[in-house]
Parts: sequence; C-alpha cells; structure tokens
Amino acid sequence: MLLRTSVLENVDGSAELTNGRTKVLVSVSGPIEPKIKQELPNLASLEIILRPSIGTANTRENLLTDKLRSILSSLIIRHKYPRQLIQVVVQVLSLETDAVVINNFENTVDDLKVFNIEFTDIINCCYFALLDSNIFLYESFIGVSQSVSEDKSIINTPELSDLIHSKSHHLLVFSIVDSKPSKIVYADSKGEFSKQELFEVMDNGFKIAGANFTEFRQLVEKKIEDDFVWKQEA
Amino acid sequence: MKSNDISINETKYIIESLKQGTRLDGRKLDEIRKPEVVLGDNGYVELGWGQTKVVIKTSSEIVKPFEDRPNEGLLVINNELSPMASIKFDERSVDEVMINRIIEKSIRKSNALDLEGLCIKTGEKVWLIRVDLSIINFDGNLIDSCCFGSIISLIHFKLPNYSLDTNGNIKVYNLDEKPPISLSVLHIPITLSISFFNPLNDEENLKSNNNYEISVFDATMKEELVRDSYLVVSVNSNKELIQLTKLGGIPIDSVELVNLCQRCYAYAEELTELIKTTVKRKEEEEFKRLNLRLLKSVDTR
Repeated sequence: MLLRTSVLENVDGSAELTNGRTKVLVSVSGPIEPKIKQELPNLASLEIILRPSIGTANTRENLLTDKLRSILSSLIIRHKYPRQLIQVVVQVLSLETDAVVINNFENTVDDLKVFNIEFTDIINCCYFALLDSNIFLYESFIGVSQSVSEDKSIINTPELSDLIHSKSHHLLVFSIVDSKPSKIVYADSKGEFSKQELFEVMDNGFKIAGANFTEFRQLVEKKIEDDFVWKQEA
Repeated sequence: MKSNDISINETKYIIESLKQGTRLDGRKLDEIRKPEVVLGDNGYVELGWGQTKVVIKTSSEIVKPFEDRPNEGLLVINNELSPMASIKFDERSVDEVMINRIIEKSIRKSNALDLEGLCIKTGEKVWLIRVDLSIINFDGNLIDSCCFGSIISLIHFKLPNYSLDTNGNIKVYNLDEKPPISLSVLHIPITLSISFFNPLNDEENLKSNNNYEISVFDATMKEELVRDSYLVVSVNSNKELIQLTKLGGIPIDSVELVNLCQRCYAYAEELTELIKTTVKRKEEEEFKRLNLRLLKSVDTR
C-alpha cells in the first residue's frame, strides 16, 4: 500500500492511495459555504461525489456514495460545523477490473463490478484525506475486506481472482479507540454464508483491522512529522 | 477555505508586470510550462502541466456501430469537472462545455484517430474507444493540457488482440496471450491557447492602429481570471492548422494572429517530439519487462 497526502492544492485535504492496481484519490473541502438547499441549521451537511475510473457515475456509484455517506456521517463530528458544508470528492483513478479482458460481453463486466473491490481502499483513503483536512472526527476508522472461499477458508484482503472464486465477500469498517479496533461501524456482505461464518469473519476482521491499523498509525506519524514545519534548529 | 477570487490590487499587479514583459512565475510571455508526463498501465497517463494536473485513461469496449456509419468505430471523449480540481467547478460551467468542444474539434473531427480501422464486423461490432479525463488540480489552461493528455493516452493505448471464428464469434485475447495492437493515430494535434490582455482602455483597442494588446501563452489560473479574451489554436507538426477558436472579447490585429500561429508550430514540433520520446521510452521498458518474463518461462521448462 502506497500513500501520499496533501497532493492537491485547491482543496483543504487530499490523499492518494495505491493498492496493487487500484488507485484512489480523495479530496476534502470544508467547512465551506453550502448551497441553500444543502444547509442544515445545527449540523454540517455532507456532500459526497464519487467518480469512476471509466465512464460517468451511474447507479453503482450512487450506491457506493450512499454507503460512504452512512459511514462518514457517523464518524465526522458534524455539530462542530453548523450551517456549513463538508465536500468529499472520491476519484477512482484506476481499478483492477479495468485491465481484465472479457470475452462474453453481455454481463460479465457488470458481474465483475458487483464486487466492491475498491471500496475498502476508498474508505481508507477517505480517512487519510479527512485527517489531512483537519476535520473533527469522533474516532479513527479502518476498512477491511475479506472473502470466504468454497472450502470455507477466510481470505484476508482478497484480490479479484480470489473474489471470482469466492462464496461470499465481506466488508467491515471498524472504529479505532486507543489504537485498537472497538466497534463495527459498518458491515456489508455479499453472497451466501451462514451466521457462524459471519461471526468468524467478524472475529478475523477484528484481528486484521488491529494489525493494519498499526501500519496506518506509522503512516500518520510520518505525515505529522513531515507536515510539522517548525523544527528545532540543531 | 481556499478562495478563487482575485483582488483589484492583484489584477493591477499582473497587468503591470505583463506590460514589462514578466510573469508571476518568471516565464517569458510566449513560454509554455513544460509538461510532465508519467505513463502507467495501458492508456493511463498522469499529466502535470505546471500545477494543473490531469489523469487520462483510455479504454475500449465492443459495441454496435451507428446505422448510418456501419464500418466506423467510435471515439468518445468524456470530461467532467469536479470540485476536486477547484471549488469553482461546483456546478456545470461554461469551461466544461468549452473544453469538450475544443477537444472534439481538435482530435475527433480532425480525424486524428482512424475510425475505420476499429471496425470488427460491418454493421454489427466495432470498437468504442473511450478517453476519460479526470482533472484533479486546476491552475489554468485546461484546454491545452486536456488535448495534450488525450492524444498521448490514445498513442499509449493498445487495443487487445482478437480473432473472429467462422460463426462470427469474437474472441478477445488478454494482453499477455497475444500482443495487443496500437491504435492508428494519423496525426498528432497539439492545441495551444493564447490569452490577450488589454492594458489600456477599450477606445485605444478599437480605434488606434497601435497594437498594445499583450498576448500570453499558457495562462495560469490567476492570469485566466484577469484576461480579456483568448484564442485557441490546434496545429500539428506538419504545419497544418486544424482549428482556431476565438470567441469574442477584445479584437486582435490579424497580422498578430498569423505570428501567433507561427509560434504555435514551433511548440507543436517540440511537444510532438516529447510525446514520441516518452511513449517510445515506455514501450522499450515494457518490452524489456515482457522479454524477461519470456526468458523466465523458458527457464522453468
């Protein structure tokens, strides 16, 4: 995973995350002046724009936008910015499914896109962009993706090939308290699975989230060190 | 919050410095910013034009052709401005329409891409080439950077190889199964925009024979906010003029116009050379990588 923050000039915060072939760029502007119809008297309104790497945004992107809104609106301290707007723009730059050549043109492209393969990267990139923009957050958060294969084994952060042969795909977002995952903020599952399997996936997700967040913490520490310009003279 | 407005003081400062032949970033009046091109996977280009940053991605799809043109492929150039680039792009703006129209004119309507070569089966299946532009940071001159980026992306893009069997079914090969095919780009249009500033009043501009108007290549965001008028010229390195757009604003001396076009040819050659060397270097890299992979597979056998 490769992360760059403060990449854009005209917004308040931005982050670019590269994970394998998937590359996501998120920008955050806020608090800014909202349009009248967006204004809320006691809370900040949240505008989320998600743009795919190929073509224009359609129903799939709308669905992802709604999911992202439900995650972010519970994590941003919105009452700190009444009558203001926080604008999050997600631009997917490249996607693993883009390079796949499909022979049966009817449905396969959409079938592949059913997997929200880039969604964890979007969530994690949003986290860094929000940190970069200094917007108040209740808690840190991290998204993890897992899939359950035919032989019921859990695969951590599955790739496209793993997803194609999987039985179910699970996406979990954990909030982080004292560097440890605490609550599940969001859970999204696709495919066929039993209750037992879901609990196993959650337990396992808890462990990966903890492990991945130590990596995130190092990235944040490095970012703060780099951004801190008033260094003591030697 | 970062603002996009410009103060009267700043406006005056820019015009005064232009009068003396200097610009805020130290360039000469007819000097363009040097584009930085990073080529990624097939058809993926990251372009930095000064602080203006555009990501361009070309992709392909098999579709049914239009009925009136059964043997021609399709080229779609898709460009939407998002508030990521600048807060002023919050709503669909005039800029967006302008950029799209000029790219259309300079690339699609100038036949830069051979569309007939994209036909697979007449009237049934043709390739649709889609160029998606994402403008991620705005610092002036979107038109030049978008056109430049689109054409590099088209040259860098390779169409997957395919075969037709006797039943008319198409099999498309993965990039590592069969070497992909380059698109046939017939010429390389280079678009350049020139901004005009009128340091004196309107009367001077319209009535006098003196040409005090200042022309500036490749304006930055601040210069774009101050300018009175602009001209967009597309040329190629064969010294052909592809399109010329000047929509209103202050009138410009016609001799000056010819001089500006001459200057554009010089830039067109320079930029065409840059495209060719960049794409060639990337292809050599790819070749080396693929060659190594071939050697590896021989080794394991």
